[in-house]
Amino acid sequence: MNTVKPVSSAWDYLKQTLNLDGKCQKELDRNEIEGCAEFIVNHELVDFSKELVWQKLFNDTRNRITPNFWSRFEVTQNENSGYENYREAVKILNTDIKSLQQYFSLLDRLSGNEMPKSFDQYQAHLGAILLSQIPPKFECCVNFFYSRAFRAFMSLEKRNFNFDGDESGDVITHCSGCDQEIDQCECNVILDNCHNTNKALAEIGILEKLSVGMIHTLILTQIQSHVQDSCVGNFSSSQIEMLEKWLQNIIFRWLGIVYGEDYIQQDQVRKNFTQFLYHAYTHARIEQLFEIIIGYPESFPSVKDLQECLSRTQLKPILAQSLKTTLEARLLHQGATTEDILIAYVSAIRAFSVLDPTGVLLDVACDPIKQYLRHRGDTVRHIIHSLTDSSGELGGELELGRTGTAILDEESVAAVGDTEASTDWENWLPAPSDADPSKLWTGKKPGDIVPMLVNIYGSKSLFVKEYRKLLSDRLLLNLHFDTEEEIRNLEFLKIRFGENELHNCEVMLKDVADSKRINTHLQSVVHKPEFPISAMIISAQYWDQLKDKPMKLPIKIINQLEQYNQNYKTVKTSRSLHWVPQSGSVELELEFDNHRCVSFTVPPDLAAIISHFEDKEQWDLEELSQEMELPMSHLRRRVHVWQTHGVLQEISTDRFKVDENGPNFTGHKTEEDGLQVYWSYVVGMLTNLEALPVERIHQMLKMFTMQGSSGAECTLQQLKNFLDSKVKQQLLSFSSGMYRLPKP
Amino acid sequence: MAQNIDPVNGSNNSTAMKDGDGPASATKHQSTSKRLQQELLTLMMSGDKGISAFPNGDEFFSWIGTIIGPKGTVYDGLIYKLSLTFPNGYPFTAPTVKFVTPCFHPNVDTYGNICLDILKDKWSALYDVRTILLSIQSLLGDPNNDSPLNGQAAQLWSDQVAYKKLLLEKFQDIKS
Repeated sequence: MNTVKPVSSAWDYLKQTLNLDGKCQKELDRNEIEGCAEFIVNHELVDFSKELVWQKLFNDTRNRITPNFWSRFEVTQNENSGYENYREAVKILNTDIKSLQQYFSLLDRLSGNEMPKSFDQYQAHLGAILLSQIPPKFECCVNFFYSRAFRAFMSLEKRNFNFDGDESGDVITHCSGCDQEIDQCECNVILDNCHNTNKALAEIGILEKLSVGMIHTLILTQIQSHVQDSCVGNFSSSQIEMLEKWLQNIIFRWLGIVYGEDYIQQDQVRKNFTQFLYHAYTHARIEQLFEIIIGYPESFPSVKDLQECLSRTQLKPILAQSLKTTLEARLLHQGATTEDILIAYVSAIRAFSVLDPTGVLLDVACDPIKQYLRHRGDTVRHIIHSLTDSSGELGGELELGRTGTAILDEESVAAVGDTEASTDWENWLPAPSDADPSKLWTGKKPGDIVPMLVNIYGSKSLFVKEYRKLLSDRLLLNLHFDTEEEIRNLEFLKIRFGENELHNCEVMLKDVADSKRINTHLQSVVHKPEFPISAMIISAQYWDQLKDKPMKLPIKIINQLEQYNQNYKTVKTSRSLHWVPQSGSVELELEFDNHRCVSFTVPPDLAAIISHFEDKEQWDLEELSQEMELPMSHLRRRVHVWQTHGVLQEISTDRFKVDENGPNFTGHKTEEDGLQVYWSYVVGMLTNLEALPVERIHQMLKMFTMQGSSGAECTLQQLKNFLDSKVKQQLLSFSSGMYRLPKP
Repeated sequence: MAQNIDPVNGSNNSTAMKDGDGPASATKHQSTSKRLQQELLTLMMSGDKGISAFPNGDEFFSWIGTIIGPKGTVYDGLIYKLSLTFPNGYPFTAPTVKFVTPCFHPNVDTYGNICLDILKDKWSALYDVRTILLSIQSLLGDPNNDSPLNGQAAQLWSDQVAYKKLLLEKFQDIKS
């Protein structure tokens, strides 16, 4: 052994022992390696031999092992073969690499301890060599392999823990994981295979290098689709906790199975996936934001979720942009009524007060609504109307005003508040980073609806003006002198807008109350008047100009009014009344020659027309027009009203007289006429719901048509009579208690 | 008999509805109901021939519709029932409309789902029950064969005689 041999024989020895030409397949055992190592050391050929061995390793890897491995993937056609190929390839690769073990032992023996382990060194090279020859089909193969394994995993998971809370009553007969009947389920085998394959890859240190990209893609797709699934059409429950749990229970456990527990214990990995989950969820919710807003407050949980996610992601600008686009496409067009837009806006304000308490998002996202509403002529009217209509959507809002934000001074409305003058300087905060720098941020919190609505116009005087008009209309329309509701509204508005602005309105309400008092007084003074008069006395200066079309009243009415005026002067000296003849209402009772009486409540001009027929039986339209000082065209329209009521008839062109028969309907007929309104509903009902008993028809009519005050109530009996009359006319058929439409 | 059945039905319906609604949703429903009530009125008064719809029960949110096949098409005179379900966000979100009577048509699948753009991505608050029904009625006579849900129907459409024969056969099957 100690004999020094010539170099050439040393070469021969090495060549043969280390199988440098690849001819011999025999592996060296421990003793032989030891012998070989000693031989090398003795010949002082350490560096040279090491070089030689490495060369051999690389050549083998590059020319034999790697092509061998990749060639497996070339024939991949479908998922099944892809799965099998991957498994096979990894198995073979692992065996191939194991067969190189002798060289590593030798290298380690030669280097002693000071060097890093040769196998570790080799791994780095292996990864590089493998990836340098990667075939295009590989990714697809890996994808097949892990998709299938993941499905098997999910399917087992579902069965074991019933994770999704599936209807436990259902017996699953088909396994979704392996596409087999449940009693032949191969999921466990698939999962075991996957496990072994991963182990094999991990042993030769290339698991992460080969698969990490694909596995991450796979998981991200899974997260995405799971988030989508759990968000669809569901706004009324919080999802974020469920999703976090799902990530923990399913995804992290799966990663644990693939990469081992150590991998998922890394903070960075967990953080990345969790962050991605939030992103996916936020995106999903942002897409649904419009529905969420419309559905608020039912959708409160999802708004809360979104708020939480927004604080962890940087998606605020995307949210604002997306909502803006959706609003423009779905809400701000001619088809939506102003009322609908306002409702949506109010919903948005409420939702955003939770979503983003700073109010910046609302400002940006809902700016198009404000812009758009500004262009609609009826916006102010609708706002005032809905605010003061106590039964409406916003009825309660006026009362909700907190004293803190009470008076809307002009500055805060116009958002140009002098921040330095603010008394609250100690609590000052800088504007949030995402605030629009072109606008001064006032730090006003959204949530109080009224200022937000007023803000659409940026001025409160416009509002007050519109309110005055509305109030005037309301007071003059209902002549019952009932102002309790209006006084209440006014008080709330005063808190908001300040006393001065609303002074006019206050005077108006006082006028109404005064009128009521004076009326009572004057009526008690006059004895036996021809007809009672109650006047709404309004102060000209404070009310909007009334639309006063001049008209000459019949002389006896004028006399009465004059009388009233005189009495008024005695009560209120130095004041006199100026009548507005076309405003008001008259209660009439007409008695016809056949002693039938019919009562009407009509506007003054109609009453005046009919009163002229008291003195003279027939009138030419032209005559009447001169008498009443009204234009012919207007008069013709008004006379027509009496004509349709059957009170007047046209005997020749433009010549009218009282219809002798009086109104041409009989008591019985009215009832049927009233029910005629429902006929189309009944037809609609029976067309679609086939056959119904009378009780059901009655119930549904009540439900769907009589909610408004317009429809006259009808009793069950009345309806039955009505339907039976239709049966007689063969418009309906009736059998075994059910009405139906006759077959055509 | 009727009296025995109806109150039960009625009360079942109303409790089922109440279960789904929180107290907070009352105002939301109000505006949607108001709109649907208005639509019912217009529909009842419009007197369109061949289309009709009415709420199916005590609530406004689910309707039954009826469409008669348009004249001059193979569907002439055939009567189809549909179901219309209105979400809370209506009219901002589209209602779900399905054929209840099985309908042999290129754009209707075997479950009655309809492929019609205005019910999906082209929905806008401009549409109402009347326009939906009219659209579906005209879809019967003028299918979109480029994206069929029922391939057989789409292929056969070019041969109107054979199409009508099969259509009537299928329609008879349902009736009997």
